[in-house]
Amino acid sequence: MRKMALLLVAVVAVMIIGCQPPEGMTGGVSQEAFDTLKMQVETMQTDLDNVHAALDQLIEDYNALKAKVDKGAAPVPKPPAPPEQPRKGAK
Amino acid sequence: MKKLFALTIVSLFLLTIVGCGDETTLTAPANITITAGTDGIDVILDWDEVTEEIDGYIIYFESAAIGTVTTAGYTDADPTETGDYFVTAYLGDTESDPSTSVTTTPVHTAAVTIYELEASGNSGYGWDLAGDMTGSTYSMTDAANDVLVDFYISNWINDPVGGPWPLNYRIESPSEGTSDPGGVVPAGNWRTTWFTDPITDPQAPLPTYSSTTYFNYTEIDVDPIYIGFYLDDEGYFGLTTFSGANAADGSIQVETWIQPVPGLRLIAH
Repeated sequence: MRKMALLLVAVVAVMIIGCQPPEGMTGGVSQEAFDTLKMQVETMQTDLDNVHAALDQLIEDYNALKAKVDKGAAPVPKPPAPPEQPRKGAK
Repeated sequence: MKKLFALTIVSLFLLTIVGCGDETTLTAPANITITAGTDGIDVILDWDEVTEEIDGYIIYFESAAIGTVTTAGYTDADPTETGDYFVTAYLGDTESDPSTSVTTTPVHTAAVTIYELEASGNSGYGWDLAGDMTGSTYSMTDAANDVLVDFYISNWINDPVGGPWPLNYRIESPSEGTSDPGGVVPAGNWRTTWFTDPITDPQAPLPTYSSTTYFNYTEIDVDPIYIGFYLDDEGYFGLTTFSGANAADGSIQVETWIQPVPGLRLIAH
């Protein structure tokens, strides 16, 4: 009987010790910390979307420039037109 | 013996008379003239009648007989070639010496260098109409040349160097010179010449003269190019060809043919 009592005490002691949280942790994540973390994640998501948009614009600008270069140099402005000479038929 | 001698003398006399009969000479037709028909293609020959007895006249083209007539005057209808004509008179088998020759062969002037109006060289060109009808270049900056120049070369822009850039050369009537933007042609009684559009067949008759076929200038926009002309005062037709436009010195080569018969559009050469 005595042995049984000792064993019961030992089991209870082990249960108490085993249920203690790890050192430095007060137990779980608070709602406030979770919200802060969520906000940071959302901010990072927004930043990433902005980076994607900037990259798309950059690619678009590059393709437009490339198309211009492939077509050749921009045309040289025409010289001023000389005065027209009327082409008259013979008398 | 005396009878035989007399008979011999008489026979020789008769033989002389008969023999001399074949040596009759005919006068060659004189004062032959050549003019163009109203269509600008027919060639009309005329000459003074030979007063002695003849059967008619034989007309020759390039030394080959092409027809006979009994009175002075002959029309070579629709000839396709140009060349020399002359006429003889004939009686039976006897033919006179030929008349002087007249010709429809265009007078050719070999290629010479001519310059755009502001370039450093002569830009005017004219034919010696009172002489051998060959062409020469002249300055367009001297009003004294107004009676000599039949066309000039311009790009119709005032550029100090001359040359075809940025515009083509043009063959221009001298009468347009004082309006040229080049601004170097002095006032004068400059002649009037009319030009065709580019000619595709330089051997074919030139177009009929009209307000829709001849103009005060024509652009020289291909190399080489053939352009017909009509001299307003005298009625001569002719052909020019241009080649080798040089943008560096404003020059171009010109070669010409002019029909010596006024009003005749034949230019085969």
